[in-house]
Amino acid sequence: MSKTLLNDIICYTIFIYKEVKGLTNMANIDLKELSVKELNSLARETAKELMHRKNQDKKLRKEIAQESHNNFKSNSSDIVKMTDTHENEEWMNKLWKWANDNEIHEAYLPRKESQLLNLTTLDLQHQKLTNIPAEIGCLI
Amino acid sequence: MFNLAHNKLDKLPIEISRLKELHTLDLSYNRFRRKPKEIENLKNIRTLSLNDNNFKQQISVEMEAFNYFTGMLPLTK
Repeated sequence: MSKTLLNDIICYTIFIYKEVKGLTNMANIDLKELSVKELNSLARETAKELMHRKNQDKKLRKEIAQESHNNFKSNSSDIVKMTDTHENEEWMNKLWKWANDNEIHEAYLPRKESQLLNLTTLDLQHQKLTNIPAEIGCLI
Repeated sequence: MFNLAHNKLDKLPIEISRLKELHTLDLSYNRFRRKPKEIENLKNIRTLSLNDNNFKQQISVEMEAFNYFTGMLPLTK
């Protein structure tokens, strides 16, 4: 390796080291006073610090991404929940109004949301019904 | 199971076709004049009762084919 190239590498290493350490008091380092062993040590420490910084950045970026994802998920979930609740309220209210108009007892058509959503059997015989509302299709 | 027997129905809302899990539908003793088209998409129907309605004609060949392909029980009338 030529002396010029070696010198460039050393200068670059010191530059990086100062940058990552945030040091300013190394401006007067005389490269000629550093032994090969010291230069190797300096290079290793610099590389180690750079790797540490890189991992920290990676970890930080991951945390930020995770937090953003969680926030997005939470907000989306809330929006979906609010929309579902609103939509449920709408068709249920229409179904209950029809049931009330036709005097269908709640034993046959529950007036509680949870019971209505879990309904598997609907027995509406002998109710004198002349129409079935479209909202019946919302039952599972 | 959906029991709508003994009412005064002559039609069903198209939205009833959304009840994909429905396996039993009793529409007997109503006022239907024809087979409700709305039930054709209920692929899981296994028992359909349409007896004692206002059908003017015998059950059509189409209805029999429908029963055959969906595996429904024979109509009672």
